[in-house]
Amino acid sequence: MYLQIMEQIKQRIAVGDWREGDPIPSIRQLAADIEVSVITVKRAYLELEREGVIVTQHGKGSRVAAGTELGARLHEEELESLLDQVTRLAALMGLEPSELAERLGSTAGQHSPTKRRKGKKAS
Amino acid sequence: MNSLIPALIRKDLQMTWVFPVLAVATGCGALALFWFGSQPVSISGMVAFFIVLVMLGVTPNVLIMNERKKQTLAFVMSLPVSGSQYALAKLAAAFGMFFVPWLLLIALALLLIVSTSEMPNGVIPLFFALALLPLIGFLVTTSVAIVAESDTWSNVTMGAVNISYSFVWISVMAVPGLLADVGSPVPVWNETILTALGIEFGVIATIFGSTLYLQSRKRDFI
Amino acid sequence: MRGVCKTYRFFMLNDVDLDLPAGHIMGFIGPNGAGKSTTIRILLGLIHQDRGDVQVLGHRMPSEEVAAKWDIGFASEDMRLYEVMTLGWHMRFIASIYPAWDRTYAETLLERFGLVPEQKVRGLSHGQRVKAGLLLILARRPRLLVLDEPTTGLDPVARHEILRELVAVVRDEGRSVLFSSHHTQDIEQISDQITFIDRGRIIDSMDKESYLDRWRRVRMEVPSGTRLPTLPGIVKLQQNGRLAIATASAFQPDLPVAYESAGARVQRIETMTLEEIFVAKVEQSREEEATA
Repeated sequence: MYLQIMEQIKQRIAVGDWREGDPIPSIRQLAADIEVSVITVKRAYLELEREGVIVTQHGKGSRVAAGTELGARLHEEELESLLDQVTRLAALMGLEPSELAERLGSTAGQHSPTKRRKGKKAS
Repeated sequence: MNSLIPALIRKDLQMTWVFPVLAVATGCGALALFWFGSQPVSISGMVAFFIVLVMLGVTPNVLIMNERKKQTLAFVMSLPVSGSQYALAKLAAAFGMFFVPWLLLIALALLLIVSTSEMPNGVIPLFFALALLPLIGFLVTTSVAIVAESDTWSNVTMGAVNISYSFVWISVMAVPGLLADVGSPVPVWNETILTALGIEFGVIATIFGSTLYLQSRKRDFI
Repeated sequence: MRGVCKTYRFFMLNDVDLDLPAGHIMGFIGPNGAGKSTTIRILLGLIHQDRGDVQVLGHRMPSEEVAAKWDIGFASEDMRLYEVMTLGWHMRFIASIYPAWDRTYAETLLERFGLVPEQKVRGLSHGQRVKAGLLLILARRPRLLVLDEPTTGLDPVARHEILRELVAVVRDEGRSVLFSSHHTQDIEQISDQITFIDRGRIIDSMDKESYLDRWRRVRMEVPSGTRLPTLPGIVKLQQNGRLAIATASAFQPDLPVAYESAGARVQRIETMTLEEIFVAKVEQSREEEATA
């Protein structure tokens, strides 16, 4: 569960809701808001601090870490993790790396920015 | 931090005041029968009167037994009270519910006895001694209801007490010293009567004391 | 609680040790008849322990039960309010006793819980009664809430409403909650500490995250003819043909390595929900008792 919380916080930083240096809710406040135990939020914050995503000052609360390109870094981490999953699955299915690259290329083409705009107009 | 006892007593009285009011009304009706009626009717009025007193001894127990049956005991015990305080509050509430109407009816009856020449005032001491019996019966059933934790015990006691009334009254009437001065125009507090009253008060005090003692020794409330 | 014991005719509570620091929520789980209610009632002074020390909010129980109960809110599944009286009457009653009664919060809760003070208790559904009982406790802001199965028998919406208020309680670091429940998801979600009781004994009591971390399910593929070794920390090993599942209560990273070196191929290592842990733990506990 603490992983989900970490994800949510990273997401909010990545999309820009919380910028560098912005304060984030105290552990107890967040726990009450999302209705989970304090200890889970505590753990999430500890891990985030370990990863350098947030910074906690004793008695002053936590804030988003001042690191350059934090949002981009988080996106990078997510992409790496997803690529890892995809390659594992492909290996399980017996796909060759070249076949996988082909599939990736065609899927990426489908989701290109031009296509997306057209899709939105239709709905 | 105040003791919760007054609040608890108030709560019980709030929920059950209908009973004593009804009892007083019925008792007055019985007294009216006695006062205004000629022979057979007036006797039945007297009997009815004592029956009302007996019934008065029963209704407060409904209050107490219900607390356990309807599982509101946990609610009350979750408040800042100890087991002994709870028992005291219950005893006091039940006593109030019994005592006030009882006193009222006794007073009315005495008034009637005094103001009529048909009934010699010598009856008064005996009347008093007899009227105390429902009080004792009430206390016995109430304490058993508080201390014992089962409905069975309460019911058994109630039944036993009710049945015993007839026996006790008859045996009391059979004591010569008590009836001796009934005919006199003035109330006579002879030795026998005083002893009888003494015994009754002693019993009352013992019941009060032992209930509180037993309740304070309880180790499981729920 | 330290070394608390209580003996009944058919049941015995043995050597119960419990610690709940302020500002935390403790989830209390165990099978039916394990002793949850008894333990909870001992905390409240409603049952007097045969042996052992109990201290609640600094007060010794049961001798100081009156002082302690000023700051404790207790609700249990078998507790009832007065049927013939209205909810409003109960609120006034409690408010007249406890000076800390917060009228505004009470009104907020009435709205959140969807309750009407003019309604008599006997007209309320089960879920509404539970919420009413909780409202009476929450609005006086006790330092400690002790709840015996507060969410049992409630629909998911009502459960959510109640969990939300419970978590809101510990926003204040000086207030704590102890609750027992059969809904392991609720316990898993909001507890800081979990205590497991079975057959009158505490079998586990620790902070939730560490507890969940120690348990894993290892799914493996086992070629025929391979014998899997017995490893420490494994509670259960199921083998079905070529698939095996090992349930570990003290997971170490070298565990899957040990299996792989014995010839098995580890497919997945899964975390377990509290419900799965609960079942596995009770099974283990029963087995140990049987062999002892």
